[in-house]
Amino acid sequence: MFFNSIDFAIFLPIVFILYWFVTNKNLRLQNLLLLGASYIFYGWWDYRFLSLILFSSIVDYLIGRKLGVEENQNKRKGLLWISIIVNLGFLGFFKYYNFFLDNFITAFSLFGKEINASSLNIILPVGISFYTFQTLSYSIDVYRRKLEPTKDFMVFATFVSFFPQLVAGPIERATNLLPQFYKKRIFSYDKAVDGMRQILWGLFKKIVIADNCAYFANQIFNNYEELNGSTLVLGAIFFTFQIYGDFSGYSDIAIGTSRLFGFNLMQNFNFPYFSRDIAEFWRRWHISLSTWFRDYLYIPLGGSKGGIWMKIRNTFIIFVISGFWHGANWTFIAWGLLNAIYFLPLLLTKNNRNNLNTVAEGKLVPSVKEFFQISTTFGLTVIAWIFFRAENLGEAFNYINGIFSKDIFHTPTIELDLKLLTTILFLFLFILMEWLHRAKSFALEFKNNHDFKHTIIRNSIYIVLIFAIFAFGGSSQGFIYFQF
Amino acid sequence: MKQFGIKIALFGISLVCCILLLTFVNKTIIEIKAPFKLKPKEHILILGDSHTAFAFNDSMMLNTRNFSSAADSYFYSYKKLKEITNNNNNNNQIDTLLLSFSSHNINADIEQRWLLNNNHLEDRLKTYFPLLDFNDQKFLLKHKPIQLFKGSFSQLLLSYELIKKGSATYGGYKNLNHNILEDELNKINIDLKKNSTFKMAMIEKVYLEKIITYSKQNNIYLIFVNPPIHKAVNKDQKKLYYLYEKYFNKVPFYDMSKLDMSDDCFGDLVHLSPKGAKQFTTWFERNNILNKKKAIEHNILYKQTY
Repeated sequence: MFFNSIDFAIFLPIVFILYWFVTNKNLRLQNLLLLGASYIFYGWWDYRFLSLILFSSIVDYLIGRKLGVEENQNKRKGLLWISIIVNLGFLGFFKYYNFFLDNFITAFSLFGKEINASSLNIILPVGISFYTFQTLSYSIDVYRRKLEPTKDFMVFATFVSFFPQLVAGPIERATNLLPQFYKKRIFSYDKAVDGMRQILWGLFKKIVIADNCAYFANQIFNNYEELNGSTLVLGAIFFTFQIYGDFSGYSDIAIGTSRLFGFNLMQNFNFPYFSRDIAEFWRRWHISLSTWFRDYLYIPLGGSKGGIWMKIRNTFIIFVISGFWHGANWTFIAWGLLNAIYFLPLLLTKNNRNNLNTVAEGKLVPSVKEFFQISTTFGLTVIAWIFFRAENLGEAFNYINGIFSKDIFHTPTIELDLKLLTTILFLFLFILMEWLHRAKSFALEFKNNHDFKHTIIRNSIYIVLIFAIFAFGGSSQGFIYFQF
Repeated sequence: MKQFGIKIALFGISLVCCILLLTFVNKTIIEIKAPFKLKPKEHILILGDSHTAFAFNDSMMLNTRNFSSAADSYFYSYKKLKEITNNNNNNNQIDTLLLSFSSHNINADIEQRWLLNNNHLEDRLKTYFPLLDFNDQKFLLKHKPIQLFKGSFSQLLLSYELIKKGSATYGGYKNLNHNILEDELNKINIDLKKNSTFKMAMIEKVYLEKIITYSKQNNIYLIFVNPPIHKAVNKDQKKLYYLYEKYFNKVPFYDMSKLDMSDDCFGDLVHLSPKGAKQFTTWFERNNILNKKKAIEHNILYKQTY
């Protein structure tokens, strides 16, 4: 079920009403409803893969229980490895089997050895990378004794499959989300209204910004060989906003939906395109994944504590794996590598934690220096996204080559029609709105002032956004991150 | 929770009020811009899809206005007919209506694309939403409720369209700007197979009947027209003739699909090029084809074969 579909528009109010009006007196019943709703939500695509989630939930639940009582360190380690192997095994098979097979065949053929093996027609279960990491975090946290294992299987299964964030995150930590299933949820007006706002903003980001940018990005990337440099720059910028609108829009809807049910999910995006350097960008982009890798991979590897070579090694490992997590393609690995190259100078010169505050805090406009820093960081991410969008490495390099050609200063060859004009206008308004609210957790977060003036202003903004969604929404595209 | 429910309901009501206000504003703009207003002497109206839109160059025709539009189903033709007669009802200004009638118009597959296709409908409702009456809304609510809902918002673009295009927002003669005849001739066998088995479009039939009834009630002489199509495809129209005779044989039918025209008169197999339109319109006007006797003389008035 897509968040931007009519199915979900019907599904959500039904679950909401049942949750707060029918099952509200009984916590277990509420959890059971969420579990059922989550399985329906997921099964809407392909019910066969529900067995995968169920199996993963059972394995990690049992391992968690065992880890809770086992004192022998070797046995505990063994249990953790079982969890890792089962979870990553599924992920590896469904997502990376064909990639590794194809590359082995290619590698062996380079040495003159022919291997006869054919790729399997494997369907990638939606959201497998997300819920796999979520269940893994549970096992690791229980192993580290940061978290008491849950005895309630239903609660655990609901935690794994919680529908708002099941298929595209945020990748929740068990330490944050799991305890919320034990507590009685009390309806909070402010929380619910805030959730509605975040859903609205997420839909605007997805349907107006991402889907419209996708139209132009697809046009340009699909015909990049025939277009001049300036048009290719435009295409890359459109994709930069498409991916942000698409993914952060999904996260906003997920967080907002959770708030409607009384849950708090972690912030996943924190206005990343206003970052002043790449380190800051990575503290603000896909926060739930970045912090997952930091806590469960980077720090166990030694983090930035060791010598210079250790720092370099760890940085490359973390970025390459992060890239590979996105998909079984060399383009994602290249994207990760490029980000590692961007990041490394900051780490080695100890400048990676320079910009921890909000840019131009308390000011309306950034200083010249800040503006230059933001523009440079944005430019670097735009180039990196080309690798992310390209079908293969050759296409990415040709695209970049096309940008840095003589005709980069020529007028873009894209037709300036109503669609382009409205897209640019909405992009401008979107950036403005995000800039003005950059110190908040999302751009449509308002204080609940109940005086007439503020109510009118707020409601007018909501109505404008709803009209924009229906009148100017781009043709419906799936969420990019579902494929990861 | 109660407060939340009340606020949501109030917001919903204010949203509905905004839609109603927008519809009212758009209706007012339509009245001011008067896209359906004809010149005082114009009394012949042409409606239909791309066949008539690309065939009848009304700038070369006496007292005639072409309001056809590509991919227009009879649903929209009916709406336009009503708007045009209501906007020009001095002495019953419209006395003749030429309505496109070809395999495309009554084909169930095409009905899916031109009337029930979500994207097509959403696109049309940008301009047609303020013109929908209660029955149209009921019809769309039954068949396409989501598109109707979306259309209530997307009519926001109507004023832009009206300012930019004027009456052309709702149709008019157009020069066909593609030339793909040769490509289409190369793959003709595949397409012919598809066309020969088409089913009657049942919703379109209802709206065609509404046009017939409405024309009768308003003393409008209705003529079905089937403009020229390429000789490679103009023989395979048995199903069209069969359905005409079965359902609509009281309406005069000018079948000009077999008029002998050279290849450069076509932009594709079923549409005339600007050159073809000029040649066809000149022939139509010069020979006074509207006159039934002349139509018979030129052997274009359909004769019963079944």
